[in-house]
Amino acid sequence: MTLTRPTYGVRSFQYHSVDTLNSGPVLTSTVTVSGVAYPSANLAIYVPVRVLRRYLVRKLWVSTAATSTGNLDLGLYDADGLQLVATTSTAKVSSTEQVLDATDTQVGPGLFYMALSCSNNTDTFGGETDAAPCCASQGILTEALGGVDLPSTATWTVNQTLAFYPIMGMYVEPTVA
Amino acid sequence: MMFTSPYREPILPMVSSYGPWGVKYSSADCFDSAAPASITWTANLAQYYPVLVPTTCVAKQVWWANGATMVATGNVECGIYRDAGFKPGAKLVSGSALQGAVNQVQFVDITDTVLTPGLYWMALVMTSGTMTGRSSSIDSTIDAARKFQESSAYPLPSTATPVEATSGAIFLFGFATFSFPSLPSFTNESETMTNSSVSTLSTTLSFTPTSGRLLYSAVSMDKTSGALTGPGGGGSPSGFTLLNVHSSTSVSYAAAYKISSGGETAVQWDWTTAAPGGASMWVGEVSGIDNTTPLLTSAETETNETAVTSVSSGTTSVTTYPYGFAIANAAIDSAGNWRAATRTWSNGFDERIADDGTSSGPAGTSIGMKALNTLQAVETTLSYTGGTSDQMSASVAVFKAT
Repeated sequence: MTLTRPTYGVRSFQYHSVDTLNSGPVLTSTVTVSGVAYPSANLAIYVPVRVLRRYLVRKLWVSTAATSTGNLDLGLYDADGLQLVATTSTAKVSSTEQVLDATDTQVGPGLFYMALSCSNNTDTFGGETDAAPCCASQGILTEALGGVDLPSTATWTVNQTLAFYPIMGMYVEPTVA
Repeated sequence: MMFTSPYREPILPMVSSYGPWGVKYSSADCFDSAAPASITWTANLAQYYPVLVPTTCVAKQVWWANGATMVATGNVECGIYRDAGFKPGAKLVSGSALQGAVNQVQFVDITDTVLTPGLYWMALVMTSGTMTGRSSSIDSTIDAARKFQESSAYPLPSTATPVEATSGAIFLFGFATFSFPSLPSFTNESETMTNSSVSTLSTTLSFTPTSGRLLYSAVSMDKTSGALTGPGGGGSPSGFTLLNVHSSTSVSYAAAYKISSGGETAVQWDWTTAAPGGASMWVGEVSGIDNTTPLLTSAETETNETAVTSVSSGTTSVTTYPYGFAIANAAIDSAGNWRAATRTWSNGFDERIADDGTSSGPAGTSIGMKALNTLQAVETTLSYTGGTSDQMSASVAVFKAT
């Protein structure tokens, strides 16, 4: 006799990248990686992601597009808004998966938030540009920061005018990039 | 002995018709990859969408995405139903509200409701055929495979009587598994202006205030008002707490607030010295304000016997709580001097105004308002161009969000 563990939902496994595309909310329309200008300088954008198992987070990454003059910061937060790990402010590079080292950090399973901040509103990223309030409807939160560095504790709020869903994630496999 | 699978799927904060557990779980599903657009509702038609809850969770709020057209008197109700053999059955919980701001996600608190893994049905109904929500189209060959519907279903029935769906749309709504720090929002207003010499002014409210919401009122009086004599604390309107008061040679004003007990019908100001040219007043309602300690801080600029075309509210202390709602009021000696002008409140404040559109002599009242989401010192300046300079004074108050 073979017993099958009951599972619910779409999947019970993830691969080397846990990100806002494969583990976040659902995109409400077609995504573009052709370049979306960052909505506001020093705005932290927090996107919920589902972590299905216990993982060791090795690196954080974000999809970037052509325009790069500023700095960015990437981070990972728990569901209460406490920062678990973050990169430091780093010059943005163009049109790639920009992968940044992060202190190896065990997380999951559970709900977490990937975070992105950019120092200006002209640098471009890969992402979705649905009209507001679609991002708010997906549980994406924001916070206006005094600088590009992500805070140790998020003071986030629903942003009813946000029209940018960034593509970013965490690598749990150390050999990538 | 029981084992709990470690491979449970975490619940997202927003469970929705557009989500991993909803009917539109990818941008290609339902044959439509367009972003949700503003689409009208069929009045009192409940739509029931299935949702697969993967993990035990607690539903704390229901929500829906408003479209580009709202009906201020239109109601929206959103609920969660148990499954009854692959169709909606008994209602578990629901929440309703007047439709709020356009193009925003509107949240309503509900009784915390535990949902165990399984199939549930989310329901949404609006009471007017001109109300809009955010929706994608769904091909007419599969709409009945994605949802049910029920006519004449406002309020949402305790037990659903679903029939095959015929409307080609997938609306964006759902429930939240934690309480989002939603910002307060302006919901209603009434105003009065008179060109008679008066020492009392009353506004009959054109809306029925909701218990627990903030009521804010400001009055502007021509020339010196003297002391306020209303029955509230310090002479404010009944039940109100006085905020800022200014009585001077050219123009006087006062502002006050209360947490509504629900059902107030009028607000009245009384003062000592009749305003020879007349007076005006405004009453507004704001949802999402803390009922225990609503006021965070306030400031005022008590000028001004010089004719000007701009006036600052004064600058408050830095707020001690990031989420809130700021309301400023400005009084002008003669409303006719700014009526035809272009008026602007700085720093992102939106304007409302008490004005009868004709009288030139009464003191005018302009209101600026803005939702806040960071710690800050609050200031806004009312400026106008195209009118005639006049004496003005202003104040601002910041209220704490729930």
